[in-house]
Amino acid sequence: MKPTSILKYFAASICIATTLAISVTTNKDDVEGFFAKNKSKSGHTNNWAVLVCTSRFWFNYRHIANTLSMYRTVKRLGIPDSNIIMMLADDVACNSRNIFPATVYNNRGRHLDLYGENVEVDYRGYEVTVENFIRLLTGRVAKETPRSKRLLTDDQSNILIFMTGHGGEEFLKFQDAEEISAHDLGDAFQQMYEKKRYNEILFMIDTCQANTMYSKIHSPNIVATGSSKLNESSYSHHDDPDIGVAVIDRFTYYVLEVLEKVNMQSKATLKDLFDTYDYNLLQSTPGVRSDLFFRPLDEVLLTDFFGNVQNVELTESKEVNNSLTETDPALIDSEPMFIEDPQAEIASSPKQSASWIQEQSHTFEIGNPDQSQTWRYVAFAVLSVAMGSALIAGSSLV
Amino acid sequence: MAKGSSSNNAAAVFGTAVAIRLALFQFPALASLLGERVEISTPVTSFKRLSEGVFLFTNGVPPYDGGVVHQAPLLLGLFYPIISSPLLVNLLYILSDLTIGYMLLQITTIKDRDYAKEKKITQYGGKEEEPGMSGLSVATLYLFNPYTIASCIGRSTILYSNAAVVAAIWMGMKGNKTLSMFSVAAATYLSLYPSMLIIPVILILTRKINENELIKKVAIQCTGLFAGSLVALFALSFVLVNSWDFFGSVYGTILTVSDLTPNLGLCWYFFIEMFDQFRPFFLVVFQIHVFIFAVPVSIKLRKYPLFVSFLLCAITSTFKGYPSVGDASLYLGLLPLSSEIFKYMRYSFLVTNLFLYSTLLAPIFWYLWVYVGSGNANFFYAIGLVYGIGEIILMIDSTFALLRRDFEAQSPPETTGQDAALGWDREVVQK
Repeated sequence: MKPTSILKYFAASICIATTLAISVTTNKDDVEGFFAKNKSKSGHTNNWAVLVCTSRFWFNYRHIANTLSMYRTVKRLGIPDSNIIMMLADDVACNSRNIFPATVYNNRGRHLDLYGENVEVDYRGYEVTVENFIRLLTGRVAKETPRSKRLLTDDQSNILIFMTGHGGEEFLKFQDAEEISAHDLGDAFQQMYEKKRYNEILFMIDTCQANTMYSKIHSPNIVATGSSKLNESSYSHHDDPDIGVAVIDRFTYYVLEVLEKVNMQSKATLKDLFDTYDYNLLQSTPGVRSDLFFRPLDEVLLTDFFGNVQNVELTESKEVNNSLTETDPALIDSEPMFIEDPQAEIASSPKQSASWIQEQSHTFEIGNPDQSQTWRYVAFAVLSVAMGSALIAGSSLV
Repeated sequence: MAKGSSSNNAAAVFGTAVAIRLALFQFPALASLLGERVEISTPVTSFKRLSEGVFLFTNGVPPYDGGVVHQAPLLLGLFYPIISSPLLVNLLYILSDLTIGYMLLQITTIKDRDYAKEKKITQYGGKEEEPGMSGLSVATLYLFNPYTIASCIGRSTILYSNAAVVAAIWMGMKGNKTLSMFSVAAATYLSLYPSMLIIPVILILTRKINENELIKKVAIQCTGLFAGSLVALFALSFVLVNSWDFFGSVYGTILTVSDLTPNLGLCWYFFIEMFDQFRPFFLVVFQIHVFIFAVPVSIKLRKYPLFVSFLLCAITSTFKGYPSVGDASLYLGLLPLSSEIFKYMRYSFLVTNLFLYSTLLAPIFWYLWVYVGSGNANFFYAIGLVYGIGEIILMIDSTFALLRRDFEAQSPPETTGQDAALGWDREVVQK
């Protein structure tokens, strides 16, 4: 065989061998890291929330307020309406006994109208049933169920499930007509696990004897928290004398106190939340069940469940930026162009000035309009003149 | 035409043409309005795209990388030094228009010279046929054609292709092989379809020669000159833009009709509606349909090469992928070169009305479709079809008139005797 063909075959085999070697020895972390940009450390890529209020009637105003407060919180932290399933009896805002019609408040001061604009209730009134709830969770809904009433999660979804109402030992009363037991709940979660419908679940329940409700869960990656243990009641926080009924429950009130300080960039963890539980304030013993959860609770961010995965980092101020750039190298490029304090600029680190210069180079130059173009044009003009004269000369010859 | 010193008349005609165009260019809003009308500027002739291309070229970005510029690189080179001055650009367009008018005038002069030496056709009553329109009339018809003015003000670059076509015919009439073939090559380089015109231009060049051998020799020479000029133009373009991308952008777009902006043509609607698997078939059919008439028409009408060039330009304008009124201005300018056939044309009223009707309704239907929404694409396409019907009837009628004139030249009409008494089709001749 000719030496050139031998060389060609040799080169080809070297290429194939290197490709195989690379593919075999690639670090799994490199591959995972390729997807890590869109995944958090917990491995979820989207967030869902199922917020269920199982009571109806005017005197259960506070349960509707609990659920709507949670709705507002998760929306504020980034979960869109399309990823929130809210089940409410919804007979409170327009109840004839409501002296502030079309409003729901969770506070005596009536600062925030929870019901005002932009509320999407997916299951309302008599649609809030045990069967609908379990069908929603397991995905075995009727064919004609609209998209807004389906839980379209996948195995990379983190789900927050919040339930409130009247409960007892291992049961929860639905709309004064039926009840769901802790076994049903555990089975529903197991079905979700088998159908790979969640990555992690935070199950939060605010009822009497709430902790019994999560005692029968047996699927992995679920962390549960309840407001009171067996034989204990959960209490309401305060009532509004004008409305006439209690407007918020204690457990939800103190959880909201923590969540109100959380924003989309917050690094607060579940452990921080659970550490704020105080029997003196709640007047009941809240519980946490984390034996089925494989990540340590001090590494689980609150925004893993209450917020949404997002690829946009919001910067509010330069100070916030600084604290974040130390931890996340991806944020260095989002240095704001406009620097308010010139003193701070002079005193800033060389790294910041380097990125400032780097920002400068992204101007509107789309090429380099320098001499090469005019040189090319001059050559072109000379050649065209030459061609023209050749034509004139040729026309007299031919 | 009015008697008087012909140079005075010429000055008047050309001066008025310049004045009209300059006056209209004073309204930049009019220029941009016309330049954006789809009947006037198409993706391959739009001035907006050309200026985008010049901008990209100035900034060192390859102009053919994006899908915007579909014009030949030498046009970029032509406009590169003057694009920043609107006055110079407008003057260039006016100058090109005037050049075409002047060339038409010269062509007619040469043709009249040839005609004076030929045997005249006998008309009814024993009269000799009158000579056709004078050169100045031909130039006037071209320069004051509303289509021409609209194309000029809208700055459609089809003007340069038209100039090259008319230059090719003029040089052919003068007998200058090199320059005429270079002009055909330039027209081909700019818009591809005028490559068909190599046949009538060779016919024009050899119209006085009788020996077949000599004709063949000239034809081979001319083909070689055409090929050489084309290669030289391509090489010059390569020097300018430093890549061969322009082939795909310019000729690929012309041949594959990849940009489906609506226009007055027949293709865009087809290609919007059809399934993709049929697209290559229809593309081939449409493109063959344009080129296939060249040889048969030239063979049949080889004694009238000026008319052949008119007919091929009309066929191009009707069936090409991106027609515009600039193409119409070209063949409507070439038609009076064969003005002796006008008295034999039967459907001139119909053709005039079809052109008027489609020209007036096209902007209205466009407005109804795009802006108001009470019409749809069918309205605009129907008007395009009416326009096409007008062009086709014009082609058919003029061909009939030419053949009729040819027939009468060979067997002159009877003026006495039995056949005359039978009233053999006299109305046609009596004008």
